This record gives sequence, C-alpha cells and structure tokens, in this order.
Amino acid sequence: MRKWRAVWKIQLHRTGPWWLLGLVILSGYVTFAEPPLGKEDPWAGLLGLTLGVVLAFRLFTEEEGTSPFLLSRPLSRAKQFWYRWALGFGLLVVLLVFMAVRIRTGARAAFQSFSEDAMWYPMIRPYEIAVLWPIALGSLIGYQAGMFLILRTRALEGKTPGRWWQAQTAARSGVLTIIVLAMLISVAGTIVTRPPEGWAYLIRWGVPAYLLILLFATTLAARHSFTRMEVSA
Amino acid sequence: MKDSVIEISGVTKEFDSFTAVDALDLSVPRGSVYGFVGPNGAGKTTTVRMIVGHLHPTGGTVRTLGEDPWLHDEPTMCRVAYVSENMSLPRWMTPRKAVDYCAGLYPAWDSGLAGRLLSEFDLYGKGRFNTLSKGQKRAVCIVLAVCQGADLLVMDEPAAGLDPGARRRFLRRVLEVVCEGARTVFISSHILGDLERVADRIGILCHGSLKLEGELDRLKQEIQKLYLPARVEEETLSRSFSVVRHTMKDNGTEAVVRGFDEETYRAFCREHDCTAGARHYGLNLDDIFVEITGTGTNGDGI
Repeated sequence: MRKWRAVWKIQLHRTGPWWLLGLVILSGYVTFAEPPLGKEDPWAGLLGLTLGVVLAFRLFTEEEGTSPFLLSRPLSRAKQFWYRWALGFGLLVVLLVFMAVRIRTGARAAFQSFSEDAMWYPMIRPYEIAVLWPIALGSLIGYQAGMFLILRTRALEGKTPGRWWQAQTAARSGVLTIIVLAMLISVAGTIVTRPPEGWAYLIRWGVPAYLLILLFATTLAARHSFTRMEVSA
Repeated sequence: MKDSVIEISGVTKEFDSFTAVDALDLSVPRGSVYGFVGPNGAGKTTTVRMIVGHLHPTGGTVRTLGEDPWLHDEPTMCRVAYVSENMSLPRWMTPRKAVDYCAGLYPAWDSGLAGRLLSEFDLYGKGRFNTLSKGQKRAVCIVLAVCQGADLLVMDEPAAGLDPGARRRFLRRVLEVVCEGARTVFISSHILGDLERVADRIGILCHGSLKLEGELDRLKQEIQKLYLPARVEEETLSRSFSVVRHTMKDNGTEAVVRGFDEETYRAFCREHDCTAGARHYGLNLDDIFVEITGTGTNGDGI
C-alpha cells in the first residue's frame, strides 16, 4: 500500500462524515438562502470557518488510544503531517468546486424559481458565485488556525518549560494572535462593509498577503509541532 | 556482553514537578528477552515510551537499534514493533483489515504467520475493533507486532486481559520470534509468572531507577532466603551478604540476602555455630520482586 493511501484511509474514515455534513449544510445554504448571494455574506464566512475548524480537529487529533498505533507505523512524522494537511486542504477545495458547480449549473436558481416568494427569479446569476469568497476565506482561516492551535497545544502537553522559554512562547503566540486577529477583523470588515476608497487598494493587496503569510507560517509551525509532539499513551 | 539493541544512559523524565524516571541506565543485549518489572508508578511505561521515541527524555540519552528513536528513518521504524499498554486501532477496523493494512506497510511482513495467528487467537471473521473484547483487542495488537518481522519487539503489558490459554500461545510465539535470528524482545509486565517462563534478563524498576538488573538465573542463585537457628544481628549478617530484609524471631533469624554463594554461607554458619538447622531457599521472580521493591511484605512471609 502506498504510504499516502495508508494515511488517507484512516483519516478519511475520521474526517469524511464531518466533511459530508459540512457539504450538506453549505450546499443547503447556497441553495436556499435569500437572494442575492455575494461576497459580503458573514453567514457563509462563519459556516466556512466552522467547517475549517472541524476538519482541522478531526485530522490533527486521533481517536482515543489510537495515537501509539498510528504514530508507530513506518511513516515519518513530517510525511504524516503533509499527507493529513493535503487531505484537509483537498477536501476544502473539492467543497468549493462543488459549491461553484451547484451555483453555476442552476440548482440554486431552479429552487428559487419554484419558491413562492421568488417567482421573479428564474435565471442563473453568475455573480452569486462570489459567495465562495467568504466561504473559502472562512474555511482556510479556520483550518489553518485550528490546525496550528491544536498541534501547538499537543506539542506543549506534559512539558515543563523554563521561564525564558515560556516568555519566548508567550511573545510568539502574542504576535501570531495579533496577526490572526488583525486579519480576521480586516476580512470581516471587507465582507461586511464596503471599504472607503483610500483603503480599497490596501485591502485588495493586503488580504491576499495576509492569507499567504497565514498559510505559510501556520503550516510550517504546525508541521514543526507535529514532528516534536509526544505521543499520548 | 553481546551488542546492545537498547542503550539507556542517565535518562531522566520529568512531568511538571514529578520525576517519573530518574537517571536510569539500562542495556538490553541483542537476542535476549528482557523482562522489565516494577510497582505501579515506577516509571516502566514512561521508559518504554522513550525507547520507542514517543516521549522525549528530559535528560540523558536513549539509543534504540543504535540511534536516537526520535530520529529513526522509515526503514529503521520497520525494525521496531511496539504494543502499548492501552493501544487501540481505529474503531472501524476489523482484525482482518488491520492485518491487510499493516501488510502493505512492512516489507518483512509475514502473511502466512498472520493468517495462522488470526486462526489461533480465533480472530478470523471478527467484527470491528470496538466490538472486540479486551483480550481480543490485545491479541490483535500482538499479532500485528509479531508479524511485522521486526528486529526488536517492545511490549508494554502485552498479556493483560488475555485468558491463560491465549497467554500461553502468546508466550510460545515470543519464544519462536526470539529463536528466529537475533531478535530481541523487551516486555514490561506485571504478570511475573509469564516473564519467568520466557525472560532471560530482568530489570526491576522502583521510583524511576533500577533496583536490580541481570540474568534471571543468576539473580535467582544470588538472592536467597536464609533461616538461621540463632539470633544474628543485621550488622553481623551484612558483613557477609547484602541484606535485603532481616527479621529476628525468638528462635532464630530470617533474612533475604543478595550476593549469596554457598561457600560464604557455610563459612558464616560455621562461624556463628548455627550449621545444624540452618536453611536457605531460592526465590521465584514474584518473591524476588516483592523483596526487592519492599511491596507486599508484612513480615509473615505471605
């Protein structure tokens, strides 16, 4: 058996049902929500965020008592991390593609046209696909931040760090928390309100930069924690 | 001594303010069955987890198969099989699926042996892991470890929950594994009767450090219980032997000593004029454990 398949087989059993549940809920939302959908949709962002956190939790924690079994198989920790991370990322991408197909093929429009209150709405509105933006942002932030925090907590379990080490950790965590919070606020602000003209340029380039930093930094930090964490008995 | 498969030197492991393992030195020769015993909370499981690279030592070094277990590459990981105390498999996995899963991961996997062991432990056709009994769960974990074809088997309480028949089959398998080439088995267990059957070396851990270590047969020879028909002070006795326990009674002295040898014993009896009626008994592993750790002794010999 190829090693990535060995990891995915276990992780899909653990994550698959929750991902499917998320898919159903988000599909329901993009089908039944009142028109029009758009990128300024906090509920879509919140649902995406929740799904991201749930996926991270399912992928980066193990069923009780299975850690010694899973982490003593002949797979390096780094590989196990990348395979799990890629699976979660892939599931989010598949979910977004599914949403896009659902909107573009007219499933939403068909339901809305049969809805009593929306008989005037028979056509597909391609611009509604913009609702994928808050879903993607929310799920990515939830997944990356959730993964990082879970693995960081696991790596620190049972440790007795010295004061200098504790101070360093507090400083690092503080900086990271500020970055994440600032990003969350920026993203939420972008979604909920139209930014003033002066900020538009900054936000257009700032948000993707934030996202790239978040993606890169949290992934590497989480990988480091995964390779250093001790295995619970 | 043969080369060591596990080499632990000066290892300490602390959890918050609690020291689980304290400056432990331990060496397990290749091709041996090493029994690792100790009272509850002695640090056995912590030591085992450091050996397989699941815990970082706070201080000291651990070498498993000659390398730091945290840095084992995948081929080296294939050479270490591990059964932990509370090991579980994913709940949906049946014994058959677990065997298929592991077969794909290990180049030296013995499929024929796996099939035989599944039949032997009556695990063929059994349902999902979470529906198995405790003993069946242990048996699945043992089958997976034994069939891996590893050079080193590390087992923490492997036989807990197995019925006597299954335990006997397990012990037989352990011996077979050791007989095949220069494989090494490290077993931590409270079932001392089982260990006595298979282990050739024993380490007794107490409060995080080794109280006693060596070849089992030699330990049985040099730890003896003496009955002397005269009142002999502990200090007097300790000039000839290392005294583990000493009890003076009205009509004699009872003691457990280390470093026993027949010649010294006879000379001691002659010197203290107690040759007639003096006796010495060998102890089994269970008694040695109780005497060395000081657990369970209440002076009445029970």
